[in-house]
Amino acid sequence: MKNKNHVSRYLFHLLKQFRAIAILYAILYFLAYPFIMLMQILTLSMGGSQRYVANALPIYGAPTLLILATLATGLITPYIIFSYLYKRADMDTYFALPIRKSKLFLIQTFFAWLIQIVPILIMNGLGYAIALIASKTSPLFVMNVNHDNARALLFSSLIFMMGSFFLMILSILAILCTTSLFNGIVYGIVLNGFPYVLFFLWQSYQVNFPGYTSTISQPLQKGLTDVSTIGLMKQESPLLFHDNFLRAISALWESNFLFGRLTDHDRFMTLFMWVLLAFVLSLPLLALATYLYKIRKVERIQSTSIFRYFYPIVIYSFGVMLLMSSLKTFIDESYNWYAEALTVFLIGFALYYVVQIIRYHGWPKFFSNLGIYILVFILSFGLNFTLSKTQTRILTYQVPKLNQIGKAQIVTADQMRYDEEPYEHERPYIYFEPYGTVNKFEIYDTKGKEDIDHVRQIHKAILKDITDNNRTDSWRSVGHHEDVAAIQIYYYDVANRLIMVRTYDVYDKDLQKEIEMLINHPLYTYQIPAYEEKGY
Amino acid sequence: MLRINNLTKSFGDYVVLDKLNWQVGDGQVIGLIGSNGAGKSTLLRCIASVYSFSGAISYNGEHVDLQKDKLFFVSDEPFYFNRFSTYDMKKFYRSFYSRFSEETYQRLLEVFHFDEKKPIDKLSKGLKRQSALILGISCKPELLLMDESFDGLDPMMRLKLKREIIRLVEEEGISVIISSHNIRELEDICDGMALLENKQIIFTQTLEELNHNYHKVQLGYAEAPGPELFRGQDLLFKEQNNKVVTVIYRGSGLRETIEASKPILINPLPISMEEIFVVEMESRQNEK
Repeated sequence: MKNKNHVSRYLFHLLKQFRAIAILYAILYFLAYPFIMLMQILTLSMGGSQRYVANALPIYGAPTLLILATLATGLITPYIIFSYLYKRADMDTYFALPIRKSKLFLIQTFFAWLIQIVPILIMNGLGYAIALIASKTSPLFVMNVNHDNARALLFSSLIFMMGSFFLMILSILAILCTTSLFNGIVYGIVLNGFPYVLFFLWQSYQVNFPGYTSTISQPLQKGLTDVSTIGLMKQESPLLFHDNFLRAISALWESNFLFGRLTDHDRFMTLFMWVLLAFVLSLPLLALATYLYKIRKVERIQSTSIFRYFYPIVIYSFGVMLLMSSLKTFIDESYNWYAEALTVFLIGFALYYVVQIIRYHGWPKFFSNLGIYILVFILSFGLNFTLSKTQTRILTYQVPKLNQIGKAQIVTADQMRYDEEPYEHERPYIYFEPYGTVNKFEIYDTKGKEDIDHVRQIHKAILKDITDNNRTDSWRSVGHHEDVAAIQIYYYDVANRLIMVRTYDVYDKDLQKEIEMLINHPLYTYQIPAYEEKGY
Repeated sequence: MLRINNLTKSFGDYVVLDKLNWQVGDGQVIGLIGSNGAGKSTLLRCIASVYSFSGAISYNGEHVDLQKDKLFFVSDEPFYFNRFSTYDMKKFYRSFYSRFSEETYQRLLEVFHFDEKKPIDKLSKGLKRQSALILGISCKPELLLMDESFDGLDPMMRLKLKREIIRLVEEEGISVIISSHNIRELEDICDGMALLENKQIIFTQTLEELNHNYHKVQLGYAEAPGPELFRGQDLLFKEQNNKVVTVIYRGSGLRETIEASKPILINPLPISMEEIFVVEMESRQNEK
């Protein structure tokens, strides 16, 4: 294939070959966005009230179904376009064609992207046009026509284009590394799930240390920041691509259609940059895929493997992560950790052996597999132990530096829950971990450097008490304790962004008195009976 | 000219072709023969760049990868897209092969009385092969590689195809390599034969050379000769039925020995390619 004319001819041929898929996608995307929006607008126009309109706006503003359809087709399309990679007879013809293999692959990849992105962009634009017309024809629909809307259309189109590409590359890599369609689908799921498992595993080492405060969904009053928005347990990460992809467009369209402007510009830009990052990452992955395509061995189709080490690397990486996760869960929560570790070992081995049976279509060698599994288990055990200890230690003893802090707060609250009697409805409430929403509380708030440093010193004294009295396992200590005060310490930077929050039980009476003197208010206390011991 | 130097191809630890050397000149029709699993299809796939390999394969002095528009590989399993007709497939190949000839394509449709609009998946096995061959020949390759392409064709179609190949060779000087188990099929079309055995091309000879080099003779004796007859001689084959002995030998060196055994009858018999193939194979196996 020596000229551009031939490339366009082949693209037309591909369009003919996959015309049914292209039509199906166009219908799917149309139903997922413009059609649903149209139906909703018509329904509301005929009998809707303002209340319904208010509820419906986010739905017709954000093309959630279109994003979900894009996610699905992005993952599936490569399996349709590149299905010939699993057929030897077809590969005979493709690889014998007078075109460089890399060029053939890139044309096909481009086509796979094109049949998705063209109808998506058309439907995205159509949805925008429908919303625009609706807003002009009926006062029921709120949409300010301004530059932000056009920008939203442009950005969402960009996100769709970049996102679809990244999704495809993961599936293509799975196809190129496998020998059968079934394996291709399984490893496609695995490759897509890999970052999530990694993320949640890493995150699991960021919790359960003394002072840990989980994400709080309820908004706090009295000037306290909603922890969920900055989250110590962050739910946002560049790794969580599918989630970012979905939320980036949702954030963009919801805010635009509702308010005519980006209400949370920073958050959207973060999500957009992550999608952009994924797209940039997809370029070297595309280069890798091109190389893998070039060296794909036709004779290995339907055999045990294309690349000898691909399956073992994936299986053992996943195995290590799953074992670490299981070991962490059991060892953290039980005193009989060795018995639980043995259970994990045995169940893990049974699962591993089943995977090997499926992989080899028969009984694999028992003792050699047991040997490999023991090595994997030891590695997982060691990593879990090291991470648990290092992460716990780092997070436990972290205190922000004085020059980082612009404001500090200490909160004390009564254990009484707001839904328990007597409940004073008139009083404001806050969410106070571990009690939940409470309405008896006191917030000490300071911006003075000396007082902030005092808060830091108290924080350090609490940590020393934790170390000296071996309260390291959890924020709840073992045994019977009277008049324990639960407090929360908040640190903000000079821009009033929350940089740290910790929750502690203060056992030491002198320390309690020192805090009371600082905040000029008695601490709310509670009792820990002996039966509240950890693990029971 | 196709030139293969030190071609080695392995599937895992199993070596199929080992330092194979071979040359095919222009305007030749070569039958590639060999036993099952000898590596005939593998060799064709290496030439067509379907398989990666070590060694060198060049066509007209350039790496075969750079000459792919001059080669066409007809696989043993015909390739087509779902619901596509031969007419649709023509467009597919035309976008890759710059020398695709509409004229040749139309002529072949006429010769084979082929319905180009019928979906290929609805065609019989033989017609699918026909479709693949029509498309392959229409791409105007200089080197046509055919893997078991005569299988599944009825005698009439085989004859027509043979005529077409001969025509292409005569008029356009293309080279054709046809792999087949059915040596008889190749006899009346090929200029020469290449025998692939023990991971190597163990002989390449033209039909003329084969006819001159291999002799099958029936000998009659007055008394049934003993087992010591021709012992130690370089015979490819010997079969005795009482007073009648049939031998196959290579070259002319044995003629005097045969005459010296004083047979009362020397009857030269025609020898088929298949017989040559079988005796050569057995001879190689005995040598091993």
